[in-house]
Amino acid sequence: MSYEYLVEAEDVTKEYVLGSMRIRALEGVDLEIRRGEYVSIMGPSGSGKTTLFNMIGAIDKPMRGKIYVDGVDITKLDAFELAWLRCRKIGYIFQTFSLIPVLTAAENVALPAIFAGHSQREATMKAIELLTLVGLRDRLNHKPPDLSGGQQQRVAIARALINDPQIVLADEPTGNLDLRTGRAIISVLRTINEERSVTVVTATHDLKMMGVSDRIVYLRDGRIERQETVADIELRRTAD
Amino acid sequence: MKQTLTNQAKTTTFPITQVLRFSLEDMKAKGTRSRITALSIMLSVAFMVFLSTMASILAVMVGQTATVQTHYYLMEIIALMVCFVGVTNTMLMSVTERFKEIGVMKCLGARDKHVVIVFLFEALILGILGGIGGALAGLGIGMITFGLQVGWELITLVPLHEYARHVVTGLVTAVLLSEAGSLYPAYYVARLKPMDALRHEL
Repeated sequence: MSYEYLVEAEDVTKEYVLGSMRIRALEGVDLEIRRGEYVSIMGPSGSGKTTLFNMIGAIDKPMRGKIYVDGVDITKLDAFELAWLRCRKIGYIFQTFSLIPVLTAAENVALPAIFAGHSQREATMKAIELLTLVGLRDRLNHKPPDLSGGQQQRVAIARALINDPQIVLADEPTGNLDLRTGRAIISVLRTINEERSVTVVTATHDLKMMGVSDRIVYLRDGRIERQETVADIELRRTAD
Repeated sequence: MKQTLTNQAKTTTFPITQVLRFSLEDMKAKGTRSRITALSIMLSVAFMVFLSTMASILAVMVGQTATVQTHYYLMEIIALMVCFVGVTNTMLMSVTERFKEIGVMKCLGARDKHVVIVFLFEALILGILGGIGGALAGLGIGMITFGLQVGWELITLVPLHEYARHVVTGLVTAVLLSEAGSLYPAYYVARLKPMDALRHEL
């Protein structure tokens, strides 16, 4: 069975309480993401990017609205099911890499596969395969503090892919990287999107992301301001 | 067209061998703090075993067990309470330091239980190490002190199994103490929502 949309958000609303203030992070966001699509969510900081992102990633629950991932309403899942969903269906990439500092690159990548119930051997084999794919064949036994930012982010990408997720969520994946390393990371993301038909969603305000995305969603003050497909961008570029 | 998740095998696991490795790696990485925690467990257990060894020897010497022992139990309890607070404090520190890491683990599929187990395992290892060291040190110091003061024959009068009992009690106390001290911190951090754990900045 396959639905056209992998992610469907309906009327997603979220408020935070900060001290005595209530902050509306999202106000009735509707968003559909197709299978195999590469979507960038853009917007200034405070626009609700990360909040929306956390909602899609089942890290946080909305106050109102529904989120379907692969046809399942994730706002209705219990803790066990959420753990399973995060483990098997979603791969996360964070701005700060967020690797486990005490584990080696290969162990970091293998960890989600261990959680998913694979044996140590299977998990390690797959980890090595993926680290080779992201170009870190010779860094398997290095620990995160011994790796550069770009290398750490590659490890994070390999980790996000290990359970063959349907969607990879990358929150500001290039935010802590220099221009050149950032470009390389984006091209790795685009490659896995094309070659493994993994849906990729990035939250970013990095304009380098625009070129590779199939669609760009502009978020402002918790609402979707406008959306642009890659064709629109091409059109504008030729018009210039 | 919408479906719900069925329960069949939709669960995540964290095998005990992995937990062990994870705990050990973490303790290795935070060597100094681990050593200090083990040392504090060791000291209070050493004190406790020292007191009970002393009580055993005194009992053989004087022959009036009851009064001597109530007195020492009180001191033992105080020593253990100090240690309990110390362990809880160290474990809380270890937990807060790893908020982010725990958030990441939860994003990768770890359940609350898995997080608790990692911390309890660390506590177990620290408890065993501190317990063995402390019990043997306490016993040794007690025997030597009395051996020098009142003569070595007197020490041999205390049955061997009584010494053994003190050591085992010391070890068990160390493990229980260490586990009890880390239970609350582990439980607290395991229940954090992944998002709150991730957002946490030190």
